[in-house]
Amino acid sequence: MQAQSMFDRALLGPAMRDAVVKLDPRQLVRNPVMFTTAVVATLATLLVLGNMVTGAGDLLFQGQLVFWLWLTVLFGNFAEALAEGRGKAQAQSLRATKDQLVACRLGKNGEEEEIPATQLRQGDIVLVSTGRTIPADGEVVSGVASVNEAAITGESAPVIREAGGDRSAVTAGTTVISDEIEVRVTAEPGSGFLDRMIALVEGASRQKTPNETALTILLTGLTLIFLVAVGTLPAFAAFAGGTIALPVLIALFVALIPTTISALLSAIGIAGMDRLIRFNILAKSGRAVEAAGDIGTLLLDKTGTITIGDRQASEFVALPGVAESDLVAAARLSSLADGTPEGRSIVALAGSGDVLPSEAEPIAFSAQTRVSGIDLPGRSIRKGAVDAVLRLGDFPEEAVLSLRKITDRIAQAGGTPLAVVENGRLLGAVHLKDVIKAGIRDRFSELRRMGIRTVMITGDNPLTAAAIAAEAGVDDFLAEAAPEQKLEYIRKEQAEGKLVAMCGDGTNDAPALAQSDVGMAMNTGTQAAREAGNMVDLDSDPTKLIEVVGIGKQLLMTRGALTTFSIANDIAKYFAILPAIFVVLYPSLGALNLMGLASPSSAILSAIIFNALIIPLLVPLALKGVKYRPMPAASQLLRNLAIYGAGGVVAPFIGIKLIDLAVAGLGLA
Amino acid sequence: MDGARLKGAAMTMQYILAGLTALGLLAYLTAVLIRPERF
Repeated sequence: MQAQSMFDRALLGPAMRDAVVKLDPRQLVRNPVMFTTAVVATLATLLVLGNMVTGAGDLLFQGQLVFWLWLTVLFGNFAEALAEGRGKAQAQSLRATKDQLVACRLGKNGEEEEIPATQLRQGDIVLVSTGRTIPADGEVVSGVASVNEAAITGESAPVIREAGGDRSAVTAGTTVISDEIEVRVTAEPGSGFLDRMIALVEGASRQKTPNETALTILLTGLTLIFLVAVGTLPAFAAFAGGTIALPVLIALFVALIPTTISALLSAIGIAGMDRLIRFNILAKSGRAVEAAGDIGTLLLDKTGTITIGDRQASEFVALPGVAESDLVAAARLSSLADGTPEGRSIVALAGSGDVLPSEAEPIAFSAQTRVSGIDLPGRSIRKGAVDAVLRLGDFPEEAVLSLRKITDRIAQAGGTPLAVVENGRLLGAVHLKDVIKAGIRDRFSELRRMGIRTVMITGDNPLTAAAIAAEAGVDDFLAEAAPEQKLEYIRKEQAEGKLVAMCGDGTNDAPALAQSDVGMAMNTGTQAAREAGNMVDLDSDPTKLIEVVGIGKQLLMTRGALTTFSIANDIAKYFAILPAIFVVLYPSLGALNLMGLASPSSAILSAIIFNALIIPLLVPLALKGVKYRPMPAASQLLRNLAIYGAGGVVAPFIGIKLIDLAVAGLGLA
Repeated sequence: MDGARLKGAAMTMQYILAGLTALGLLAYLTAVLIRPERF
């Protein structure tokens, strides 16, 4: 999915309007710090209006304070509206797709009826023919078709959808580009994948994540402390024989409470989900994105994730007494008509030779026989799984033992042996090797540096699994893995306090997907898998789970970095506002005016202006995210403390001083 | 009512209003701390 730039005019205008709409107290009340700021800004407005009647105080100064207090609230609303706006723009194009859908519903007697897709109910059967758009989420119950899922995934290469198996789920909004399928509707109107996607990208169904709730408690606690602290100041002033103007007290309170991070908090969360969506991954909740950042164990399927899906022939091993050239020639001949990647790789490894004779009768591989081959006049060649080939005849015990030795050696090396037999004579074996994806070893080292344990899941036997695990550099493996074993493994890891991520696409993966903290289902998978996972990868690429962890970490780091920056910001404000308020009552506090600010009024006003302006200045960072580098958590923490902690202390000193120069120069205070 | 007394009365009103607001915020922030999941 394409995302718009955050500075796109089409986004900025509506975001500004929404910032005002979000002043609605029913919306603001969900953000305690910003709600508190809005309440005290209202109070300050009433006080200044009262002062206008009585003529008390410096109205120009107080009016400016009120203006900047409201801007603080509006900037916070704007940050959230801008983050939501990007999702809304994406949702608009999805909604346009959904609104135009028409279905061809099949009646009980097979009669066809054209109806709007919104009238479809769960269990209805619809017929979708070439060129038609699938009107609702469902499962193919009859037929096979190529489907273009570009409307959902952005990927225009068609995918096959067929009845039964793991490729039966179809999504509303995708288009059948060849053949015809009958689909049983599995979602009620308004609860389909497209509807959920629209709601998610619009942020409508966004709930606070556990980390956000924890941070809200911290920020609310700080606000409460500052409320009590500022509330005691009039008593101190009275003791010293003076007074503090209420608008000034309000300004001090707003400058001290953590407005910066509170204003950016929901924008950071929305932007995290948005980053995943741009990566073609749909997270069903912010909690899932956050959990991805804290993952301790990553369960990865061997095939397709660690190895490229197809095995390649790497070696011909002839039995004693058999010429290797005989084995090579037989293996080559039997593979000439074999269109599978394995078959093609055997031909490629064997090199040049005879072309397929016209009288040849190819024998296709089948799951029942587990062998393939070729029949020629006077020649019959078969190749396949060792046990399946040995069942084809009564071979000499010595030859069988020799073959077993060879195949055991291949299995120990992580390969798959393919036995070859010609006219009842065992010739030897072809070593099919799982090809480890380029660079995957480095990716696992990177994950290890991030403190994440990688576990390879495979249906292979333990010997083969161990060899591939060692070559790929994973930390552990689960061989001959059945769905129950996966579930058990996840539970064991979780019992040790680790968060577990995994991906899957089959119905048999659904329990493990539901149990894992981050369960990424493939979009090509079954409806059950997509329902069970808390993320759906629209590109169906399991390797993206590694990137998901990075995005989750980036979300957590951005929130942490901006919280550090926001709290560190307070230090400069103490030096700006406290001497300004108390210098008349306690002249010795003038020593705190390190910045040499022009006057008490300009110091207070400058601090409040900085407090407001820092919010929009940090919006790009909140939306883009802090740059993530794979490194141990302790180094990461130190690095961020140095940048955002020290930066948060230093930046306001410079900012407030510059604003003070401008305020004094313009005669505003 | 002369100007000084008007200002004094307005001042008192302002402090009462500010006090009530502070108490309201105190109650609200305490509620957030007790039931954060509701906010």
